[in-house]
Amino acid sequence: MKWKKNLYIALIAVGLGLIGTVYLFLDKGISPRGIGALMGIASGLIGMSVSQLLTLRMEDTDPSLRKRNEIERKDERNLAIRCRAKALSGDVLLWAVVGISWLSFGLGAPSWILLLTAAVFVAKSLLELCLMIRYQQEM
Amino acid sequence: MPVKNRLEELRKAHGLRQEELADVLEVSRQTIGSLENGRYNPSILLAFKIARYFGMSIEEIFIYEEEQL
Repeated sequence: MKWKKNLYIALIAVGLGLIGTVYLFLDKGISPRGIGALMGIASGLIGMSVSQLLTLRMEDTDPSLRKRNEIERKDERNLAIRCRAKALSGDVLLWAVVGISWLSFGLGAPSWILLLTAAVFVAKSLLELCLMIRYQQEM
Repeated sequence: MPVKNRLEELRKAHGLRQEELADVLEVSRQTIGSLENGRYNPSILLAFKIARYFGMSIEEIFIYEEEQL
């Protein structure tokens, strides 16, 4: 548990560091898009880490809550649901990328969009194949 | 679903609530509910845990009904 706390504290520090970086380079020609991206990442890191630290603190004061959360995390039905949802959402996203590819081709969008969507499709398919081979060896 | 089970009957016979059985088996209460409703089939490990807890064999708790061809 200690390493988790340290990790979240480190992530808060990284978030604060990003905000500091934005303020340091504010008048040195950093683009508004860059500022937005850095601030978004920083606030996301800080928000997630603070909520995780609060959860860990609540679990420290109430051990039964920790046990319940642990059971919920490891529950086989929850794991199966999570895996199925992840797999299906991955497939839906992949077909959305294919759709965007066709759409960009039809609308005469820049070729880098077409190449990017094709690269995402190929990368996902290759990763899926590699994982299938790995799991076939494991099971 | 070709697998039926007697989990609800056995749980009630032992005077247990779903929460209590879930705590013993270290699963969520929703999992017990889904098992009882036949919406979810347990892994072989969980089936063994359930059978051991009730002191029965898996076949006595989970009944496989072959689908008619």
